[in-house]
Amino acid sequence: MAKVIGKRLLSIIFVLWAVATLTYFMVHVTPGDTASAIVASVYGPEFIDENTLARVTEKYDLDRPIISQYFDWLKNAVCFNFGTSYRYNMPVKDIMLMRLPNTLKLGFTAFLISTLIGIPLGIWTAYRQNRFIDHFTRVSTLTLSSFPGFWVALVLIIIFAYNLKLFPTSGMDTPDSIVLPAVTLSVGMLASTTRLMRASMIEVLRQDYMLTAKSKGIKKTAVGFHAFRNAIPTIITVLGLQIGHILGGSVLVESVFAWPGLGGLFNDAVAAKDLPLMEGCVILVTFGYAFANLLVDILYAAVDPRVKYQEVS
Amino acid sequence: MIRYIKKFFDYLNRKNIMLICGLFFSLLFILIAIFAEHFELHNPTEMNLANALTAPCKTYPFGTDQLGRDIFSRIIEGSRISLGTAFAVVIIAAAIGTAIGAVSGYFGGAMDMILMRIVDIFLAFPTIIFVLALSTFMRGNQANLIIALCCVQWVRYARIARGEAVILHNAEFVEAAKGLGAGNLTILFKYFIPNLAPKILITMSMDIGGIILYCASLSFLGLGAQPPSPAWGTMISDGKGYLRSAWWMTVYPGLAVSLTALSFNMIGDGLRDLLDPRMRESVSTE
Amino acid sequence: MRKMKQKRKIALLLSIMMAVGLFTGCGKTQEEPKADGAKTEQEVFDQTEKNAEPKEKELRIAVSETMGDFDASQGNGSTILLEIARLGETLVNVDNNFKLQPNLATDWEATDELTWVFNLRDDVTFHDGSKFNAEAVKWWLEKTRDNMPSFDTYTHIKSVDVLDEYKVQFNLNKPFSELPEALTNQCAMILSKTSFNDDGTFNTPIGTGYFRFESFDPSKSVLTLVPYENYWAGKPDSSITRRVIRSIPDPSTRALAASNGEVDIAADVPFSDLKGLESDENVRVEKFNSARTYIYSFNLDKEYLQDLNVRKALVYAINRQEIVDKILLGVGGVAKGPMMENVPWSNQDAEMYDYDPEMAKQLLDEAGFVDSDNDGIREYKGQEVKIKIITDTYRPGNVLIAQAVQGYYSQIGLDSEAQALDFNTVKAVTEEGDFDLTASSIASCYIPSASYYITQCYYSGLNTPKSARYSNPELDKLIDQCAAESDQAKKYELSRQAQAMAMEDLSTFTMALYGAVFILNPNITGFDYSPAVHDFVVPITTDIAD
Repeated sequence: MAKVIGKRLLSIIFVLWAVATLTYFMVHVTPGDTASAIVASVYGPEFIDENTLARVTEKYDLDRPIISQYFDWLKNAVCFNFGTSYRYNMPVKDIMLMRLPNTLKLGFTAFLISTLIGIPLGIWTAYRQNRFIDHFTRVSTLTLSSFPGFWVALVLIIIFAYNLKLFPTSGMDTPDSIVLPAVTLSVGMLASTTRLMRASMIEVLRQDYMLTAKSKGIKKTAVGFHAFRNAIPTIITVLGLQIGHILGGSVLVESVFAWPGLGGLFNDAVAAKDLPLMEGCVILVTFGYAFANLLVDILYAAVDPRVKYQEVS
Repeated sequence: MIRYIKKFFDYLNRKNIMLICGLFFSLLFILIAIFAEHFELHNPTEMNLANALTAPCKTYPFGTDQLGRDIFSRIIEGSRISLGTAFAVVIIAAAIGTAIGAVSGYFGGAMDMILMRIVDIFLAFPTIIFVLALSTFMRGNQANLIIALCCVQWVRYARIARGEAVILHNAEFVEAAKGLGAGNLTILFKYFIPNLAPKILITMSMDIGGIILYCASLSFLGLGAQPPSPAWGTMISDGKGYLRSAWWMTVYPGLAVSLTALSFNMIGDGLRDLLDPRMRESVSTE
Repeated sequence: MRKMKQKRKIALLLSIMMAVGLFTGCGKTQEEPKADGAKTEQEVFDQTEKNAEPKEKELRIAVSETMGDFDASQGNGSTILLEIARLGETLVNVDNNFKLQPNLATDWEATDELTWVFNLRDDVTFHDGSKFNAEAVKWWLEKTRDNMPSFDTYTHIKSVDVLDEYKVQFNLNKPFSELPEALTNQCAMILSKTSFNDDGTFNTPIGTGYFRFESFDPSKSVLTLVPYENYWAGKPDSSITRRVIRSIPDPSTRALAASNGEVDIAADVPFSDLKGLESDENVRVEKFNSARTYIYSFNLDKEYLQDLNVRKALVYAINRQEIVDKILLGVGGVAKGPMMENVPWSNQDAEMYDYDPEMAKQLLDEAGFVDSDNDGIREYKGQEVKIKIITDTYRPGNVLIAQAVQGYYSQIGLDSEAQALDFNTVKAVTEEGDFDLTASSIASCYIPSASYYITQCYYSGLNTPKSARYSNPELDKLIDQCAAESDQAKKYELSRQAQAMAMEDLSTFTMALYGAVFILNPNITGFDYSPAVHDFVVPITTDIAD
């Protein structure tokens, strides 16, 4: 098992390197060059002129061949040092660490909401298979997951912030400002949580020991409890599936709600062509994504007695 | 007669109503997109500043935007962009992905190793992040959006095709056919494609709904089609500034995205049932 | 079975440890990044004394700029420090009427073509108590010259000499008659040497203004300032004891923060949001025209655009009044000259080619733009032409106006397209030449001098969105004369002549004046907008009535 984890870690390191390299060259070999990106994000696009560009090229040492710049950058990146953001003039690492907890907070809340609704709903619909409520839930969760997240965000703002004035439209000044972004993010996850939970419940209910238990007249609640215990691996699976959704969805949701997290930061960095910040964000997100997935897999193996950990290809 | 109708509905109930509804509505939206100009009430790109920001009324059922353009007609016109892009992405991605996956799986060896590592890299970051990063060196237009989305989507197909190819490569009947002198091409057409095609087609139909959503998200962020072409995401993004005064600019295009995505997602959901029929069987719980 | 479980647990532990190790391991070996981090600002600046007065009164301002650090020698945060925080000051001020006023300098004169001498005030101290004198000016401006790439573009300062304690001499790279005007710019704001740590990293901004730095919270992007007791101009008539500046980049969020009473002044609110806000009792909406303009330039490399009549037609076709009313929703104004009317050297009599679609059609007909194949779209000498308008997405109005212009062109039978591109692409496309019109915006009085705008927009050899391949040697001569002229009246007249000549040539035209909108707490007093500054000034007299 340790060997398998080691292998996975190695592959994560490889993927991270590849992603970093890919991003670096993607971002630095652009039609408008790096110098004008710097001028634009530091002083504004109006100040792009030859003299300023020449000074910036000199100041940021952009004359060197891109390969040697890349190796310097990579050396630093290994230790999470991604240079200094053009726009904030702060170390990229510091900015990201400042923003990261907010994204985690938002992602966790959203996950909690979708789990708290999705898991019971999944169990309930599994018991009521093919009844009205089952069909209804299925159609409505599918509908919810067909809504584009950013649009849900805007509609929630129109209804709950502008018309009912229940929640703030954006920012994170008050504790209740997390409600709308978290709900938005969880809407997209609800369908898959419910579906997975329902499927795994049906699987469990079908098992012989459950049928036996029932036929023996064991209390319904006890049966239910038993069934729920079997749901834990499903929750972990869902978590694994949702990490990508949370990371990707946060870009849009955080932008709309001005939530000061990583996703919004990344979007701003793209818009402002803040190259070091962009690269930092991509790598951090990739790292988080890969690592979280690994942890989920390990957790899965640790929790579910039936699953032996093995590499899924 | 009534008996037959009842039977028909029973049949629908049993036989995947989701899939049928999905197919029906998807077809409807496709037809609307193809015959868009027959449904448009006004010229979707013609501005009329005198009527800017008109609330929904008889002349403008969904209201007008900040330049006085009819939102209803723009949504209809936009379905061309949205569906066109989604189909283009799915077809191109499936073609490229299948080819790469098949070659990689069938011949194996070092090439397989390299290709699969590339697949790993592409799977390593969420779609939006990847496409946004790509967008820094691409000019915003629809072709580039399609390219960017294809860059992400081909991976799934590559994996499926590779899996199939590996199985086929080791299958006894293929060995036998080879022994009888069948060339790679024969094997490709006789065994590989017939085995693979249904899986790929199913994945494609499951993907379309998601891609429609991605397209909308990305054009919301300013990638893809440029004004005045009425991409749905761009329309919503335009409306974002007018949430307080003109909610219709945001709500209706979003509904269009949702309904289209929903009908394609229903196909995907129905297909999932079809593939895993156990989930629909009834289990006695009482 | 048991063994398996244990193994699993060990593996779990191991992986968690690895995860932790990866983070911490790097942390140890790594040097602290040397960037002038805002982190140290909080640690070092602990000299916060609570005001003895029991009543605290905060003025909270929301701005769109992000704040990271305040190393003004690199241009970081300098607009905020100078205009909104009022922490730093410049040697020369520009008033609401674009006239220069002495500030930290009392008077100045050009001693020859390449040197200027400025006399400084002798009663000014920095917030840390150190003296403001010639030495301080020299140190700071030379530091800025080295640190900020755009500094010499605007000031042409080569070096600074200390003549005596309160007298400095500026030595220039090239003859430049408008140094005092240039020194009003935020890049010439003077901060103290003590703003830097001994190791050369930036610490906190220490200036001479009425407000001094109290704290900055980088995670919330909030800058807090308190009054400086020994301010050289004395305490203004205001009861504000603290000024808090928050960065809220999203415009709708800024507007909302104001209508929720979370801030007292929110700047640069999108015009689209105003309709709802104007009926809001909790706020006061104030609109002003600024010296910034939306401008359009023709690509004079295109054959048909070299025909002056075609250019005229393309301007006659546009209803600029309607654009201001319907697109900008009244935020901004119709330009009656290349620049706004408050600018003393603006030529308000220049030909502006006001909306006249019939004239436009007639001119097009004469120029050979006719619908030869009866499809409703004009062709140029039988060839299909699509007028391509490119604009950056930096200012929201630009994209909308470009689409409206496209609409006007289709009304006179021209095929056109509008492309909204990011600035890098705009720059690239402008250089490649694949466009007909570029839309952009310009701060027409970034340097409040009569020659600034005409140099930026009309000078030969420029190839920017503001001036696409225009060249007129006669006009160049006029611009040079204007820049060199020291007599004010003559200088203004030369500028006006240049504007008139440029409008006749019509290489660039002003689409609209850029509007500034503020959402204010209704009790705000003493707030005044000056079109002459870069962003906006919050005067030190601004107060909140009880």
